[in-house]
Parts: sequence; structure tokens; C-alpha cells
Amino acid sequence: MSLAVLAGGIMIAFGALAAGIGNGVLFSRYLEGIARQPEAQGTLFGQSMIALGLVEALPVISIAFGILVLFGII
Amino acid sequence: MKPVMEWFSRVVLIVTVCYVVVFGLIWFLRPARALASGFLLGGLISLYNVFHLSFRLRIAGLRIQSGSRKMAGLHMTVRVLAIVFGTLIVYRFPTRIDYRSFVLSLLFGYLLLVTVMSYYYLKGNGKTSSDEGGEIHGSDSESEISRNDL
Repeated sequence: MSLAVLAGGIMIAFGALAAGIGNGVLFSRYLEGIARQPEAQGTLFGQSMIALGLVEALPVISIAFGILVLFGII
Repeated sequence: MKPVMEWFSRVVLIVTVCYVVVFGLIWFLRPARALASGFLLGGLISLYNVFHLSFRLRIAGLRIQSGSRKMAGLHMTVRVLAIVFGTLIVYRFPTRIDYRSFVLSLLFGYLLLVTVMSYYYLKGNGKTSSDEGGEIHGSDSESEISRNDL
């Protein structure tokens, strides 16, 4: 097994792991907030969108780069 | 919440159309075909991901509000698979699609999301009904009635 395959796998795995944890925490807080205060859903929706966008940007890049490294394009 | 979602959907639709037209013209006029197709593919996947994320978030919120016991997730696998699909296309046609522009443009949708939503809140549109006593965000008023009655 070459090192490129290992590097690609590590990039994808840790990117997905970090995104999963971050999204899970954010999403659970979002649902908790709506359950506690349903009229605040508009505010919570926008703020959750901003936070989810910031959280998801990193794994997206790491997954794309990981696959490209895995296939030896980079 | 509906106005936020409608406004965001409209902005994403307009940006998508402009994006496709600009990079489609660049691709069609052949100044840099590989770059343009990379930007086109990555940008479209990214915009789809952002739209899908907002849609799932909205569905989950509405399910919680309506008291449904059915679980609603964010469907992150779908978004990851969309990126994998795009990357496999880049791998299949390496001479026609530039991988650098593809990876760079994957960030486009998320940057757009943060910019647009920040702009929305900086304009002062994101106040709740408890802040101003205005229109109640959300679709159902039953939960409000039941809570007030209790």
C-alpha cells in the first residue's frame, strides 16, 4: 500500500469525522432550541445555516482533495 | 421562518443561473475550457449541497414544531456522495476538467451561504416575534396556543 493511499484515506476519514461531530452538535442544539422556543425558529434557522456552512466547508475540501490524492491525480 | 427560506432560495436560484451563464459562456467561447468546466461542475455541486442543507434543516425544524415522532436528519451522506460523484467525473476526464478549479469552486456555495445569511441578519431581518412583537415565524400556531393556555 502506497503512502498516497494512506494519506487520502486519513484525509477523508478525519474530514468526515470532524464534520459528523460538528454537524451533530449544531443540529442537536438547533432542534433543542426549536423545541424550547418554537417562535424563534426563523432566527435559529439562519444562524444554524451560517454555522453549518462554516462547519461543512472544511470536510468538503478534505474529501475532494483526499479522493484526488487517493487516485494519484495530485 | 418561511420568508428566510424563500429569500435564500431565491438568492441561490439567481446566483446559480448567473453562475451557469457566465461559466457556460466561458466554456462555449473556449478561452479556458478545462478551467470553466471545473468551475461549473464544482460550483453546481456546491450550490446543490447548500440548497439541500437548507431544505433538510427546514424539514427537521417543521417536524419538531409539528410534534411528529418521525426522525429527520441532515442527510450528510447525500452531500458527501455528490462531492464523490463530482470527483469521480474529474478523475474520469482529467484533460477536460481541471481538478484545481473543481476543488476551489466547491467552496463557492458555502461562501455564498455565509455571505448571504450574514447580509440578511445585518440588514435586521432576522428578529423574532419576541423581539418586536411582530409576525410569528413558523407555520403552526397550535403550540403557541397550547403553551399560553397552560
